[in-house]
Amino acid sequence: MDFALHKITEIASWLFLIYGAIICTGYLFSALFSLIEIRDYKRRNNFVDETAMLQSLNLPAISILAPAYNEGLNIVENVRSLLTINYPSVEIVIINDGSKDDSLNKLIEEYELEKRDVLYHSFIPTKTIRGIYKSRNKAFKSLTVVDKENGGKADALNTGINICENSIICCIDVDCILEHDAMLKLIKPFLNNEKKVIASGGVIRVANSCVIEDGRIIEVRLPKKFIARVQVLEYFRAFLMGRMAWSRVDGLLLISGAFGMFDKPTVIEAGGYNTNTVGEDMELLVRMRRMMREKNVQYSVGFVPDPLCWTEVPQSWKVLQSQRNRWTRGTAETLYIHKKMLFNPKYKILGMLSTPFWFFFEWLAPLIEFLGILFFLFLLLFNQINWIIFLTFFLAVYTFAFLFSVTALFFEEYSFQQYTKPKYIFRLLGTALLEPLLYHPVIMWSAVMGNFDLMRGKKKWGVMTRAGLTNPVKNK
Amino acid sequence: MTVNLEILLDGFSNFTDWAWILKINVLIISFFLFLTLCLITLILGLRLFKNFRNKKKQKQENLLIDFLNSYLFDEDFEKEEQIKHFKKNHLNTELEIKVTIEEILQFHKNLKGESAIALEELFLLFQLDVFILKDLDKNNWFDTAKAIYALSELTIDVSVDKIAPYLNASRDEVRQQSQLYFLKTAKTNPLQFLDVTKRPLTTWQQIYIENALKNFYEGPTPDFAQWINHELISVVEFSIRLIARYNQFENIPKLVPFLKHNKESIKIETIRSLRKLGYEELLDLLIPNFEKENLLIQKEILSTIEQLGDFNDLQKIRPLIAADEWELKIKYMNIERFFLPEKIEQINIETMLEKEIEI
Repeated sequence: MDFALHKITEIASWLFLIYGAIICTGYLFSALFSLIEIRDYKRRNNFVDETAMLQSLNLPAISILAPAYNEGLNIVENVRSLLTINYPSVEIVIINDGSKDDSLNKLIEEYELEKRDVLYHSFIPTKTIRGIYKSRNKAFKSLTVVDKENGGKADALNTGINICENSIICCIDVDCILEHDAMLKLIKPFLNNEKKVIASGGVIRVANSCVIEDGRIIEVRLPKKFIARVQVLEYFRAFLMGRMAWSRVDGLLLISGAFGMFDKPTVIEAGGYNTNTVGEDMELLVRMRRMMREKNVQYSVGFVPDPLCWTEVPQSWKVLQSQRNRWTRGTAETLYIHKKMLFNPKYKILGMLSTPFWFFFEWLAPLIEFLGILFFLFLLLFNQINWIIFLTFFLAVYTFAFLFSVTALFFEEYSFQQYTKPKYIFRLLGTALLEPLLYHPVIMWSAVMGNFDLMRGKKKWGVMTRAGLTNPVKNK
Repeated sequence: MTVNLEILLDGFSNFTDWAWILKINVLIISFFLFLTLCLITLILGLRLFKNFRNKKKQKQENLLIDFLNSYLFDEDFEKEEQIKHFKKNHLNTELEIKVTIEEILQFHKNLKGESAIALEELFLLFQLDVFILKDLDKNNWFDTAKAIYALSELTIDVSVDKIAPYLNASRDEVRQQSQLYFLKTAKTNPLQFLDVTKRPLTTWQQIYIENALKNFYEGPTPDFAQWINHELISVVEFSIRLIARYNQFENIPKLVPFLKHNKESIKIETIRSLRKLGYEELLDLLIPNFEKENLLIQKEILSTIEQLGDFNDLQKIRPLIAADEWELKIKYMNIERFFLPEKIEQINIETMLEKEIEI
């Protein structure tokens, strides 16, 4: 019995070690590629002020699609903020996804909307549209409000795609706060590329605790709550390290649903957002890329590392768990739908690197981690723990987790340095020290539960309650 | 199951007897800790360095703002002496020189006429062009692009041979800056650089060129038709577009053959340009071929009917639109509503009926 247990322990230790080593190597390369990409981006953009281009009438028109569900509390202000977007030709389409509150009435009243007979065709099937509204007031002529039956975010975005006029669309969350030149920066990859660009994404930043005036961030502050602060680090890692690296090797599989720009004809050809998954943003990009590859068309996906969009992150553990549960289900569903791509050389970097990485290190990692904990409990039960080995393993993982966060913090400091107060560095370092102990277990558990819920057939988004972006007074 | 602290401490006391896994783990931990400490030091160092540099930068900027304002607008300012003094005391480090260049460029952007010329002279008196030319000769693409940018912003003439090779550089940024250099410094024929351009123009570059042509170039407008037979498709499209933007009606006969071009994008650009130029025979050339064209060109033909044609032209198209071409049908119906505003209700009802049939 003892011998068998010893053998099992040794084999399992080896497996966990190999898995951990592969993850570390992956992250090391990711950091390296990100650093090269960020350096390159900074060099490309540090001498020319391109905001003068915003005066140009030659820039292509963009349709901004913003779905809204029960956003009555802030919808008027959010739309006002969108209407002030700095871009020469923009159409704003708000899709009221069957809200149960007074969102629509507030919009009708505030923006002097009236029902119009707009001709459209459902290139992508959607739930029934109840009405399309435009403003009588010329000041709001760029605004279109679509009222439709509830069908979820993907269905609302598909409706917007059917209705909107321009061939470049920008899908955003209605409560996002955009930088003044966000549209210009996001459209640049579409225009400055010899290949056809099908999508471009930007970096999302955490707006909690920031000072906001007239729908613009005027002072970046570090969130006061630990749960929000740790997500600042998470977003650094995800965007400045993860996506920058994937962008460098043309292996990007995800453009955040909160802020992404797409080529409408390609989106329609790919079939629009998938309403049967909760990870519609990732699934759409993967499907578009897969389609282009299968058609053998040269194409590109752009990624802009500048902080362009600020959003509120969950401030309660319950909402956070619900969000991460959904993200896990979305990832798993997307990987399942596109399982054909996995290790398929036909899809090049997407098949040989991106999808395997997402499969093994994004989807599988929390499950393996959970398995590791169960294994630990099993050994504990049979008194088979070598505490020294355990301690060194634990410290190795812990130091790596801390190192990874510190690397992300370094990238932020090297690139955009948004958190200017020196005390923020120390607070973020402190947060990085606590994260593996206090935050990560919750995230892992949410992912495990996400997989469990997926097996149970759960398709719901879950409630994403927002605390609302408060407006702290700016320090004089 | 309890941890025996004594055993644990004993275990740590003799490293050579440790199991291999322990040794590896300890090495990994040490390595990670070392990297972490390095990075934290780097973060703090970077922050200190940036703060220090920003302070120096701010100081130099303030000095320059005072200096430039006096230089440009104070008649009692002893220019020669003050320039010497400034050069001697405040243009010694690379940072000081870079900040000065940036500040002069910033002032130059906001000023026109004599003040702008005075700044260009000051740039040369400070001998900043020497610094820029050194950058130009560096092998780094970003230094080169930055140098050409400064030269073109201040319209400083340098030998053509120095910039021309960069027109076909591998980096977009370098190519774009050299294009703008030739455009901004040109007295005539600002797009002559297109003759030697071998790399396609991106839309972004085209927008920049067009903006610069409109806002910076002051000489006679060139005949854009000289590039409509260029080997690069993007250059052909661009010149066709510019013919329309600059209302070069005399080039209409040169554009018409492009309606039969085998490249779709050139064909589309030609239709758009001829439409903008109000070429009356355009519809007679387009409508008979409507059925043979692809969707994008068919949409352009419909737009042309909306702008140059009438309801009769539109009706000729109706039987040629396939039942499942909804994009075309919607465009058609919108134009129909435009031509027959009094029948909007009826068209809407027809549309609804067609939709029901489709369902």
